Amino acid sequence: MNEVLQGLLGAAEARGVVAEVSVLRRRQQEMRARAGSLDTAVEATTTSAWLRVWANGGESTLTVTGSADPHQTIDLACTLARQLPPRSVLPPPTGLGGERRDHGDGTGDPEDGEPVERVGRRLADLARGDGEEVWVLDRDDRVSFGRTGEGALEHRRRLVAANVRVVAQGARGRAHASHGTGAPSAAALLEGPLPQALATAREEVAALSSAPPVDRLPGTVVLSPVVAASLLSLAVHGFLADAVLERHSMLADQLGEVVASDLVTIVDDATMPGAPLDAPVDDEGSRTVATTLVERGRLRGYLSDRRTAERLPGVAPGAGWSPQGDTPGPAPSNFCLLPDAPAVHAAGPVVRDLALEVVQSHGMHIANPVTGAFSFGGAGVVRQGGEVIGAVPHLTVAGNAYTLLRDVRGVGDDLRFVVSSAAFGSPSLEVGGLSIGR
Amino acid sequence: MDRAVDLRQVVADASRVLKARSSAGWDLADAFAEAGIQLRGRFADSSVARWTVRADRGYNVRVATGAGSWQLASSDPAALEHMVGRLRQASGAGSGEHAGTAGATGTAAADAFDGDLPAEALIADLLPTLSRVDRAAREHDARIRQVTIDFVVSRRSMAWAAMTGAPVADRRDLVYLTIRAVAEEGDQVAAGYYTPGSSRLGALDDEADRIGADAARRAVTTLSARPAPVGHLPVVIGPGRGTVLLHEACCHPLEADEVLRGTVHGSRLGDLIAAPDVTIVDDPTLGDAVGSYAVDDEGTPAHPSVVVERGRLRTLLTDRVSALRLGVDRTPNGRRGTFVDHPQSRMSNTCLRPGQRSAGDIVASTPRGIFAEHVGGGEVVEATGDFVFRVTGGYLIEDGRIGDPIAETTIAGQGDRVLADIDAIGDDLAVGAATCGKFGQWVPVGVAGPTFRVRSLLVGGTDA
Repeated sequence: MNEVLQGLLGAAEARGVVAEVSVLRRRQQEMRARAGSLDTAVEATTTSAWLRVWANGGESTLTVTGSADPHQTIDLACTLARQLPPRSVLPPPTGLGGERRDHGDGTGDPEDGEPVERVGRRLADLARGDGEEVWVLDRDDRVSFGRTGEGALEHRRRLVAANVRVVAQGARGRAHASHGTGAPSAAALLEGPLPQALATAREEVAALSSAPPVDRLPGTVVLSPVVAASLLSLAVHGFLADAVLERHSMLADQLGEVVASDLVTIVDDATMPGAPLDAPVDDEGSRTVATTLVERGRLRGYLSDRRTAERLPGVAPGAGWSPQGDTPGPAPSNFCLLPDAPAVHAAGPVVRDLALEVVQSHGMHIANPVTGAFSFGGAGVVRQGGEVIGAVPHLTVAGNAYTLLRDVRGVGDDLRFVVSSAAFGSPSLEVGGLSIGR
Repeated sequence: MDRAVDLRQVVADASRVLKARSSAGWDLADAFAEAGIQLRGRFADSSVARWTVRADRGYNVRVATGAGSWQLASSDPAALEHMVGRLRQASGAGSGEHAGTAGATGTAAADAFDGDLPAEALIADLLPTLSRVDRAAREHDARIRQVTIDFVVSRRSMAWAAMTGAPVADRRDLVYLTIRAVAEEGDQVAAGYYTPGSSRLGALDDEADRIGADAARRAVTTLSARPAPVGHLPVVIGPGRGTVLLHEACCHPLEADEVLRGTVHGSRLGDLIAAPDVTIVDDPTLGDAVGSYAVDDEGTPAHPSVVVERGRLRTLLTDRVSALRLGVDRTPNGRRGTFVDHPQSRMSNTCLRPGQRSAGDIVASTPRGIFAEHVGGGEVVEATGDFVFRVTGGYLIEDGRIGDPIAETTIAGQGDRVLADIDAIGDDLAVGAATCGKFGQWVPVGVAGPTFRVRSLLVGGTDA
C-alpha cells in the first residue's frame, strides 16, 4: 500500500473515524512548439492526497499537496466536520468491491514517459509553418485509493489535451483558427487527433482568409464537430444529479420524456474507445459505467456521484469527479453525442446542397448553464455540395442548448472531441432554431 | 511558522544550486516556491452543501535560453538538486560537472498546513457572509426559488529568487464568490449572476446585503426580458465589470507572450489606437482589487503601467522571458496559476480612467442602443483582435431612455476598431472582479472603470 495512503488511513483508524483517501501521483508535461521549434517545456511531478472524513456526525474533505503530518491532518478534518450540516457515512465505493482491485496499470510511480525533448521535437515538426503553434498538456496519474477497514485499489488515468493554432494572411485579410483535441496518450495524439486538428485549422484559415464574402446566408445551418461538441458542453449542466436535486436543472423530473430529436443519442463513458479520457475508476473510488443519458431523444439518466445516487432513485454512481482536486461531485467524463449509425447521410460530415457551416466559436464558456441560453461569436463558411464557396469571418450565433437538441435535423459520423473541464464529443450536426447575426 | 521566511530560504537554496551549475547559454534562471491554503465549495439551500480545504506547497526552477524555456516543478523540495541537473540536460547544457557545491538544499519539508492562517479562520470569516448574501437574495423577491454561492477563499504565499540577488516574497489573499439566483414565474425560469471579489479577507461582509439583493434583482428582471436584438448598435457599458471589454479587446493582445505570436496591436507601440479620451492602465497596486499584489510571480515589484495614454499605445505587458525576447522594458505582469505552471504575461487590474460626463448624460444622448448594466466574461482572438463578451443584465435604450430588459446576449467586435469607437466616458468609477483563463492557468483579475459608450458593436440576440 502507498506510504502516504497507509499513514492517513492509519491515523484515521487510530482516531476511530471512517475515512477515504485518494493519493494522486501525477507526472505532467506541458509543451508548446511554434513555427518549427520547441518554445516552452514544463515537467512537473506532484503528490497530493485527497481525503474525506466522517466524524462528529459530519463530513469534511481536505486536499494536501506536499507533506503533512497524517495525525494532524485527520485531527483537522474531524474539527472541520463539526461545522457542516449532519451527513451520513457513504457506503464503500464499488471500485473497492468484488474480485478486481487493480484497475489498469496503477502500481508504482508514474513512468518518466517519453522525454519531453523528443516529444517536443515531434511537435515542432508538426507545427512547422510560420504562424502555426501546438500546445500539449500530458497528464499521467497513478491513483491509490483506500478506505478504513476496506483495503485499497490502484488505478491509472491518462489524458493528453492539445490545442493547435494557425494564423495566416490571405487575399481577404488575416484569419485565425484554434482547435482543441485530446487522446489517452501522447503517441495516440500524435498519430491521429493532433495532425487532424492541424489539418482542419489550416483548411479553415485558408478558407476564411481567401474565400469571397457572401451577400446572403443560406437557411440551412450545419455546426462543425468542434463547434457542436462545444455547444454540447453547455447542455451538460442539466444532466448533473446535484443540479436536479438543487432545482437548477432544466431536465429535472423528465426521465423517460422526449427532450431531443430522435436522431440524438448522448452517452457518458469514461473508458470509451478512442475518446480522450481513459479512467476505469472515478475520483471517489466508484467503477465508472457507460451511462446512456439520452436515447433516440428520450431522457434516460443523470450523472451521479455516491451522495446524489442515494437521493435519486434509479441513478447509479460512477460519475463523481473532482476537476480541481476538491470534493468530487457529479461531472462528465467523455460526454458524447453519438454519430449516426447506420449512416443516413453521406459518410463523413453532414452534407447539404447549400449550407452555412459554423466552424469557429468564441465565448462559448460564458453562456448560461442553468437555462442553456447561449450567444457566441464565431466564423463560418458557406458550402455548396460540400465545397467552400464563401466565408463569413465575423458572425454571432444565439439560441438555447436544450432547444437545439430538439431541433437536430441531421447527424454526421465525423466524431471529434474537444477537451475542457471534461472531454466533449460530437459529429457535425444540421440544426434549426438558431439566430445568426453579422 | 512564518511561511514567507521558510519559502525565501527554499528559493535561496535553489538559486545557489542554479548558480553552481549554471551554463553560459542561460539568459535567465530562477526559482519559485509557493504555499497556500484555500477553502472552496458551494452554499445551497441556505447551508454549506460541500467544501474542501486545500493546502498546497511546491517548487519550480526554470532556465531560459535563446532557443526556449524549460521548467521543472515538484511538490518535493528534496528533488530540487535533481531538477536543476535535469534542466541542464533539457536546455542542452549537458548534465555538467558541478562548478562547486551549493550546500544542502531542500529545507526540511515543512508541513503543508503550517502557516500563519489556520483553515478554521477562513471558515469562520466566510460563513456569516454567505448566510447574509443568501438571506438578502431570498428575501428580495418571492419568485426567487434557489440561491447557490460557489466560493473560494485563500491565502497564498510565494517567494522567488534569481541566480543572483536576494529572494523576494509576497502574500496574497482572495475571496471570490459566484452567486447564482434562480427565479421562477409560471413556466419562465431565469438565472441572475454576480461575481464579487476582494484581495482582503472579510471585505465582502459589509456589502453582503447589497450583493444578495443585486443577484436576485438580476434574476427577477430577466424573467420579463424580451429577446435581445440582432445587429450593429451603440452599446453603453456599465461601470466596473463592464471594463471586461477593454480587458479582452485591448489588453490581451498587448500581453507580450501573445505579441511574440503576432497580435493585432503588437507592432503599434506609439501609434494612436484608441479615441483621444481613452487612457488605460494596468495597476497591480489598486487597493483591495482581486488582481493586486506587491510583486509579481517573477519577483518584479508592482507598479502601474500606462498601456494606452490619451489614445496612444505606450507599453506592452510582459513577463521576464517575453521582455527579454522582445527587447522591451519589463512590467510586473509575470503571473502563474500555480507552482506547476510557467509564468505568462497576464493582466493584474485593468483600469479605464474616468471622464467628465455623467452616466445619465451618456444614456440620454443615445437615441437607440443597448445598456449593458452587468457583464459576464469574454474571450478574444489575439491574432485578429476579434472579441466577444456576454451581457448578463441588459436593457434596450430607446429615445435616450433605458427601456425593457433584454435576455442575456453576446456582443462581438474587432479590437482594431472598438477602441477608436469609444465616444463617451463617464465619471462613475467602480471596481469589479473576474477570473481570467489562459492555456489552462486561471488567475484573479480586477476590472475598474466608469460607464462608457462604444459607437457600434454587433449584438448577437435572437430578435432580428
